[in-house]
Amino acid sequence: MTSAGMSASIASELARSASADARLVALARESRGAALEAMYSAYKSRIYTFLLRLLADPESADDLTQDVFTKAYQALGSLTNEHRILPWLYRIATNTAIDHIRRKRRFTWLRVGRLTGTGEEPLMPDHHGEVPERDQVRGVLATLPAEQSTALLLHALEGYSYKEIAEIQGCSVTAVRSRLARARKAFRTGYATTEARHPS
Amino acid sequence: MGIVHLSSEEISALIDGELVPADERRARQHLGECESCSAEYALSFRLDQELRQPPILSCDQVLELLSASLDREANEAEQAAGQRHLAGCADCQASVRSWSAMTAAIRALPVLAPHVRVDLAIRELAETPRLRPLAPVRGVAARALIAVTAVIAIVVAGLGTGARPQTALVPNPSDRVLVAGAQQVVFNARNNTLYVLDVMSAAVDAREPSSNELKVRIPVGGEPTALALNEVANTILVLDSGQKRVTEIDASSNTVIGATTVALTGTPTSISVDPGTNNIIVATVSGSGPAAQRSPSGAVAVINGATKQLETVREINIAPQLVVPDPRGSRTAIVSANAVTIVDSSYKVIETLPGGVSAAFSRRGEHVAVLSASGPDAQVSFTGASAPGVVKLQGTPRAMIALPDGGYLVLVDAGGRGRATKIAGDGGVVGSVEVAMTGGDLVYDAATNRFTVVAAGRFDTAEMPTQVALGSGSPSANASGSASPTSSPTASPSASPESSPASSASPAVAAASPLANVLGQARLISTGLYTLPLPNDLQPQIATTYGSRLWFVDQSNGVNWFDTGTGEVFHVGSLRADAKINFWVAGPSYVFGVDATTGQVNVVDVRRQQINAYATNVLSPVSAVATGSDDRLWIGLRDGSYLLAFDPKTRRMDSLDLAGARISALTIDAQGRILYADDSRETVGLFDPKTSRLNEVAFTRRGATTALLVDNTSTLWLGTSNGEVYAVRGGLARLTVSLQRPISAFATDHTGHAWYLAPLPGGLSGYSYAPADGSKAPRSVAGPAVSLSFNPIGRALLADPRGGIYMSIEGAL
Repeated sequence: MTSAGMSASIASELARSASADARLVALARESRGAALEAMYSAYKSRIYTFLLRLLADPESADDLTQDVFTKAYQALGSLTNEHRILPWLYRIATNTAIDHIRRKRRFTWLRVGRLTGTGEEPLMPDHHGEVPERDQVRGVLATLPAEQSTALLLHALEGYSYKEIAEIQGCSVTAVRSRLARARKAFRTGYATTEARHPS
Repeated sequence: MGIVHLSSEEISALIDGELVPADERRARQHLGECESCSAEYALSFRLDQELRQPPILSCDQVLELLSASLDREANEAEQAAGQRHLAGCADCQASVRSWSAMTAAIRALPVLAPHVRVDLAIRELAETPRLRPLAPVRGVAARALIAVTAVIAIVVAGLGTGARPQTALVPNPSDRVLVAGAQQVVFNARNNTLYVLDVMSAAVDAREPSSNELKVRIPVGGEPTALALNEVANTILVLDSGQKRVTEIDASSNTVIGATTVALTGTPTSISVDPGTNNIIVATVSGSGPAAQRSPSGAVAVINGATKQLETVREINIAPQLVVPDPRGSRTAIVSANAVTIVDSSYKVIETLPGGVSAAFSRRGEHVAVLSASGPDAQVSFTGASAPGVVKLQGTPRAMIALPDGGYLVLVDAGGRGRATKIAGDGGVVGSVEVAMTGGDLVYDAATNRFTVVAAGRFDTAEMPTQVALGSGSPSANASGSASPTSSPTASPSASPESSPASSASPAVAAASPLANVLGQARLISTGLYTLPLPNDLQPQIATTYGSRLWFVDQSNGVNWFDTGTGEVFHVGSLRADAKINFWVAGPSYVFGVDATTGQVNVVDVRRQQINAYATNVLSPVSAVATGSDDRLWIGLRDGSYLLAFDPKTRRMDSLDLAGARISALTIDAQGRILYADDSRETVGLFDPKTSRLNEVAFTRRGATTALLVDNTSTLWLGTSNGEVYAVRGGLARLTVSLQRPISAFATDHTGHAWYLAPLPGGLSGYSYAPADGSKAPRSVAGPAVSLSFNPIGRALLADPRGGIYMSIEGAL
């Protein structure tokens, strides 16, 4: 099988089976390009969606998705058979996103706060990153500290255990437990507020 | 003998079940008889039960336990404590329920894919050349003329394509072969849609052919150079000459469905679909230097329309610029300047005709027409049985298409004006009409009997000519200045000797915009000064310019723009009815309107053509706004020492403490630095967002600052309420103009020099404008003006709030 053909079959398999991780590591030894294509096609939507929910900005999520896979490509050689690809990608994504948020705050800016959109209906909707969804969920996610929303997203989107989240975030299980609890508390408050404002 | 009571130890052991059976029987018997021991037992038992219970925790203490319990990450004791709290706390019960709902809500959010530009970037990163042997040539034996090139085979990628449109720059013409403005539009009759390539934006616009209204913009990325329609598959093919990629757009959904990279030798110049075989034909030329001009060569690559596999590549000794398939599917014309080669369905040469710029098979297939230059003019020559004689046309040949009635439509550049001439199947000239563009693609829409000329994303649509203008018997006698039936008898600026291609839109051109092209209604009011009435009684209340777009808000809060290059007026949408716009500034991607009192920010997204309003809590009247190339809106406050920055992409407002400075006026230079005037402290300051550094210099002036601008020499121009204009540079200020009336605005002309706009002296209505350095006498207009701007060829434009635009052809320095 050519590496391109192998890449396609691994890509479809990756999303389902963790045992394919080892095959991807093997493919990376043969062709990093093919491994990148397989990895990207299997996980791009999950990484992008995670970053989009975290940053609430489609363009930044695009940029960072590209950064994540570029970094992953550069680090493909360091992968071992013990690595699980998706958590590894989430770890890169988490670090990249937090770097991005920190970089944005390097100036001595004072946060005035996110504005409340009172926009009218767009004349020509652009659906990229704008599909209808629960605005209050997005809204509350965007107000949480990044480490809390990251923990919450990893838990909600992927169902990762506290231990797995701790490995991705590079912190202790106790810290994950506390982050999730605080995120939920904030969410409950924010959710209740938005619900009260929009009873429908 | 007195009663022997149970000791505390015995009661405790009884409760714990630690007594031997005989002792337990005795103890229980005693408890039945002794009230005091029974009471002590009951107390100890309750205490023990209580101690066995999980602790009672507060809501805050239990939060983490409940959260972890929900996730099955708590131990038994923690779970028990949580349950114990929950049992008595309705609020926490509701919390836990809401957490589950929240997790479900997050999971229910759609899983989205990144933009195609990311796909492309990753694919490029991943792509390594993978060699694959080429299939042998089918059909005819290899001859000297036909050879299989050693071509690196194809990487067929899955979905998606496209790079970030902003970075899709037009390639430098000096180092690559360009596709000469051809194949930038196709008309798909199946969905009645005009597909127009926007090279600059790396996108294909699907437009309604009758109104040219944009249906949807389809980003394709890279450097797209040509389009083709696959009628069988109902797809639009986009050729990217630089990347050698063919992107496929599904016409039913108007979305990109795939991209194929074909690593051909040479530069692809043309793409077409063979209607007989449904194969994709890409013509390439080899090299572009003098050697290539001496012995031109190229190739025709045939790509299987279904599998996207490269089937054959044939080298030919011409440099093909255009491939025109016979609609009947049997032949193909490969057009180059040196020769037009007619090949059969197996790409074997069957005829060689003299070269030209375009060729067309007549609809019945009996003739081949070739458009070529004949001295300074154009000619159409025909071949085939009983072919008509040569038709000569005045002007440089540009494009030709065959029409369904057996005739042809020919576009020539007649001295800086485009002219489309219809030629009947028998070679007779039916009529001609002027169009704004002097080159590009021609597309005919039989349903409306109109045609469109498209070049570089611009397009003009006109009725098919039915008569030769000026009653002339032949188009060669049709001198420049020919009038169409719809032309206005009034003087037009395009008739001026100083007219340039950018504004030479003739009144004959039908409106390419949803509203109108106002150049045709231009009225000369004094030497070199015209007024252009705006359509629909639009009255600009406030106006601003970015690039060639003059953006204005009309009296009904409608947002419109006037193309200062072509004279077209477009309506984008409306602001909220209650919106009040005191500041109105335009940047590359957004136009911002700000209500000074409430701080409400209205944002026009230029690319998406949508308008949103955002309430802000700035807590002070806005004193000045500016926008620059970073797309952010910078806001100065009257009562606060803050500089605010609103990012329309994230809808975030950030603020910077200016350490006491109060902003009276704001502007942004080409490097993205923010310059401000502080009237209260008589300073001008500069803040560089890249370094977060703030510098101020003291600068004494009289009056309040009313206008501020940085020109292309990095000179800061400051205009005041008492009519003084200062040039500030290198820490020095110089008074250049003193008018005794307020400076309304500054603008830079096409060369980057600063001009001012100011009302005429008292008693005279009207406005004057002049170079800010005082080097030229002012010009004036007799009416009010809300803005001054310059178009790319240096004409001054002033928006008249009574419903027009003043245009001066002497705007340049």
